[in-house]
Amino acid sequence: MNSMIEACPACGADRSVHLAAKPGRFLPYHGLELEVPEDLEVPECESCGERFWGPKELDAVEVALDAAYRAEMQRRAIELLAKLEAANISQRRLERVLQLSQGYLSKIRSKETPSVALLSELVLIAEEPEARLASLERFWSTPNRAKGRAKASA
Amino acid sequence: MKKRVPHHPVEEVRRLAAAGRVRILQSRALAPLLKHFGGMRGRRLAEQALANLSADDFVETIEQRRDQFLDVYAVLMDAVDWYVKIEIIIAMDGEEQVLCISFHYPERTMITVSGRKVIV
Repeated sequence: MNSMIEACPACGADRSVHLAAKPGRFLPYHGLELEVPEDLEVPECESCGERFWGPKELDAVEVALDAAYRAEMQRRAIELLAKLEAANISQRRLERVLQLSQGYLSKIRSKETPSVALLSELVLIAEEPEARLASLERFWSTPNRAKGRAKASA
Repeated sequence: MKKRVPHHPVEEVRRLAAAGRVRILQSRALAPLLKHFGGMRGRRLAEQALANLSADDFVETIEQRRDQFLDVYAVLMDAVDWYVKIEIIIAMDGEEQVLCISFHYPERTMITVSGRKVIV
């Protein structure tokens, strides 16, 4: 068995693993690359840069990444809503087309974390607001043809 | 013919993992798990997989350097095959710990001691 103190298990460098707390460390989290809190100490090899995450550090980083994820999703949504507002798209129209309850987008501005699906829809709509909203409105106002066919074949 | 056996006893790996004594390397284990599962669910599933590790899933032992022996397993988790490389180390607190060096998609074909072939 090897002691982590004696050699880095990744690169083999002698006595190179030490607790480190610093900025600029990132982890993938629900599709985003989020920064690990700079004051969180994680064993790191000063030779190869490999990090060794134990239960204590993982529990701490999970709480931090979850908060960072929510904040980042909300920030992106608010940015997109501002862009749509600048394009004269009303919040109520957006809520109707996206089948959201009235006032839901206001909640996102204040505390709610948007879903990946909602954020993705906002990204696509924000690229060509009027054309994409019109397309969605046409799609959702299309009559239920399947019902008509079922009657015809009955 | 002598059966291949892990360098680190699988019962010991299971015991340590069940006690939460697992340390995970970021580049080849934690990051691939987080990418696959999105969040920390991957970490918990990996710890569970180690706590339930089967000797049947053992593939080979690799001698890395200076008597560092790493055991490789092919683990089926969440309907996906994973290349898992571990060793038992003495951690900074002086206690034993499972060091999970790799936990990622297989990059080459593996055959377990039970004869299961994992094709890339």
